[in-house]
Amino acid sequence: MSQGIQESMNNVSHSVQDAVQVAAPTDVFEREDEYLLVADFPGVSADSLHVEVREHDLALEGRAGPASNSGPSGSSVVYARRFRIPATVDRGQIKAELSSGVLRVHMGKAETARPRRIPVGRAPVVARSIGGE
Amino acid sequence: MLNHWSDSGIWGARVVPNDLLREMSHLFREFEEGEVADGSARALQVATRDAGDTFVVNACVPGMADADVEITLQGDSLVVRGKRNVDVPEGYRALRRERTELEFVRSFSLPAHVEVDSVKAGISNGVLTIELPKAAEEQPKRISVQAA
Repeated sequence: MSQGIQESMNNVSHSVQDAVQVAAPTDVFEREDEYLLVADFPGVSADSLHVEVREHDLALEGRAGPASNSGPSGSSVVYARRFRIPATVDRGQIKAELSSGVLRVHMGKAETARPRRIPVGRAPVVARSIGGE
Repeated sequence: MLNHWSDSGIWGARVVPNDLLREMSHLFREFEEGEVADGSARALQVATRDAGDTFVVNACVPGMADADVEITLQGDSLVVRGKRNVDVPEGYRALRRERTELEFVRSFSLPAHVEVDSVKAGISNGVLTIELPKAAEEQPKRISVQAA
């Protein structure tokens, strides 16, 4: 389970004609209740960033604006990435936010997948009477 | 096509700015490489262009704020410094780390005089843009052609 989120080797469905394609560098973190994926998408606005769950995969793709970091001959840059989502993720609890060219995807774990703390009760009264006298 | 996804993880390994820089070297001569121990200076992607009346420098600085970047202009030398930390968020443990810390110093020799007081810089969507208007005497002039 240490590799909670595996990179999917499936290619992005559509190839990009006039752009240089780059794998967005990505960090993945885990907490008891969620996974957090952090990826660099410089020059990409929220409008041109697509975050999709396709079957078992999380697909990320964003095109950088032409003025920001275009390649030679005017081609733009498309950042893309695709990850296999663990079965423990609750599909209804995936949230994405983009700030300063950094995408953060929060993926909540299903209740059943979270560690459960079992409360430890105090010793019954009988125990005290034994220890006391 | 599968090897698209087996990149080393150095971001922008396939992006063109280095070629672009070479291509534009007659415009902007970069005279100092970043002084970074781990080589991550290469991770900073920079593009420069001559937009007629203005020189424009763009650099990818995702996750960085205005305060993380320092720009100085002395004579025809432009120096850009910056730093970003990529810490593990509190309460989480890391499963995958590809985003590198960035610490860079990049210097550019401007090919023409610029109007120092009119230089503008800002960060939008993780891209730093520096606009350096050329000095009046350097600006392209349109010569009207008179009918004979």
